Amino acid sequence: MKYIRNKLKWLQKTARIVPVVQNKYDPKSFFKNIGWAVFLLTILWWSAVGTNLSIRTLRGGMYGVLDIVSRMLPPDMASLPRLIGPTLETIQISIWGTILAILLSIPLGLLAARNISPHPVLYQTSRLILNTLRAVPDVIFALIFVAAVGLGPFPGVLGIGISSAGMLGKFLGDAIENIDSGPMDALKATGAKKMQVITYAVAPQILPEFVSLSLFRWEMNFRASTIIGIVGAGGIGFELMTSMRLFKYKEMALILVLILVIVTIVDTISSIIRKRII
Amino acid sequence: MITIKELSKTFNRSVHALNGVNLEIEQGEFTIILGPSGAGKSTLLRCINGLERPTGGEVFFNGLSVLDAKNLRFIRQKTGMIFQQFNLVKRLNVLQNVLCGRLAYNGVLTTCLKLFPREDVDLALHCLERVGLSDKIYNRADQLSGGQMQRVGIARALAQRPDIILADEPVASLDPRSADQILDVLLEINRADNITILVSLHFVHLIKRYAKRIVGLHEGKIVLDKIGNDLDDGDINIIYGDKKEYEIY
Ligand SMILES: Nc1ncnc2c1ncn2[C@@H]1O[C@H](COP(=O)(O)OP(=O)(O)OP(=O)(O)O)[C@@H](O)[C@H]1O
Ligand SMILES: [Mg+2]
Repeated sequence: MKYIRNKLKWLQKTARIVPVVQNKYDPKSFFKNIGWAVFLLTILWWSAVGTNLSIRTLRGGMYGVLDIVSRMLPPDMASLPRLIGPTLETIQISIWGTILAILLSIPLGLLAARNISPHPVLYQTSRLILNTLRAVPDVIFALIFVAAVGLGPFPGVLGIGISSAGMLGKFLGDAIENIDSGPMDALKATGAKKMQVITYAVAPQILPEFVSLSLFRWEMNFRASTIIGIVGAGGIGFELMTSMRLFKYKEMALILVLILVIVTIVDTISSIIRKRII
Repeated sequence: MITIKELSKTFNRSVHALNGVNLEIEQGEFTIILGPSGAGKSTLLRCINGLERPTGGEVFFNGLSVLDAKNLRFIRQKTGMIFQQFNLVKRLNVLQNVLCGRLAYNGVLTTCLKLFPREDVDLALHCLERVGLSDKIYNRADQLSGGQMQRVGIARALAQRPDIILADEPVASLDPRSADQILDVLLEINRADNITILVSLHFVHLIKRYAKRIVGLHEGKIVLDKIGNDLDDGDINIIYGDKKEYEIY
């Protein structure tokens, strides 16, 4: 131990390449880092055992995958006319789900930013709400709303909206906490009221990021809308589940192609909007 | 017009930024607060418009206590502030930045929809003309040079129609030529509009040629109060101690 420590000290003095670290360099941190590395490797090994990671099983499984894929091809184009309606419905769910999420996340996010929140209690409460919203998977929300308002796309909108509000709100709160306080001070110093300071000094600083994230969330919501359809919350997901149950692999393939096409379109639209805004 | 009594400010219970400051500033005066880095200049100015809450003492603006929450908005409305880092809203254009100086005079609803009375827009344009930026009205603030940004900062303060302007090291981030321009604009505003001006600086050479009141601040205390061109080496030693940091500039 002592030998290593002396060797390290010697290296530190004579090496041509030296580590430049955050805090004062301390030979002890070398051992600490080794400790951390061992800890991380242990976690990785533990997770691998827990999930039965195995190359051999994967190789064996390849046949199954190929078998299903071959049964899916070619996609069943005959069902296309019947599937157009549900596909559009999924787009509609994702649009209103995202809008609902944005509307909910703005007040929650403003309260969840320490530097502008009116009171610590409100700050803690909104952080708690946001964490809860993020912790519950969107399928669960969809299930709850299906039970509450019945089958169809509307519970889908509610489920998507509420669960993505958690992520957007947390992001908004964090982004506001990280803005440059200078312009905020300057506007406060003119006697501007709180809402004016938010509109003129806070909003412009976070708007590009918030818009980007909302658009990204829209893409995610489109995919989520297909999943929540499985619990009866409308859209293409409902069809996907039906064809899966009936082993109609070729119809399933068509639905996947449709989803791919829409995701690509959504992605293109949002990158156009993003470029405009920034 | 500004009366400061026994003002103290302690950060984190241990950093004594201000230590019993007494200062009286008359209407129309041009005062320079001189002191090395960390002397407490920013803290002093920020206590005057309530951006910082003092831990002791009092500040009065035309007899109104700044510590009284119900006076605060009115006092801030009548107090312009200029910052070393300009503190413009980078993604707004020049005109919008100047109009920020009018927010306190207008309702929340209209201003949050970005609506302003025509007189306010005309006033903002006039203020931009005074600082020589009429040709940059629709440029985004982050496209300007440092000197131009600071002139927008001045226009924003002017748009408030203030009784006093507090300028916290307004030229510390600028090249000497822009620095001179900015100080000249401030002097001109003081002369033409009779607006009281309080500028903090930490370079000596910038001020010797102005025959203005100099208040020296050292470690949170006022150590000097005299007219600028009377300043001698002894006075400079008092303000800077043996730090002599001014010599490197
Ligand atoms: N928000 C804060 N929290 C903790 N300490 C602070 C804070 N603001 C200022 N201080 C401390 O108070 C002292 C005075 O700071 P102040 O910014 O007023 O000095 P200054 O004269 O403006 O200096 P400079 O020329 O560097 O701007 C410094 O020691 C500084 O570290
Ligand atoms: Mg300062």
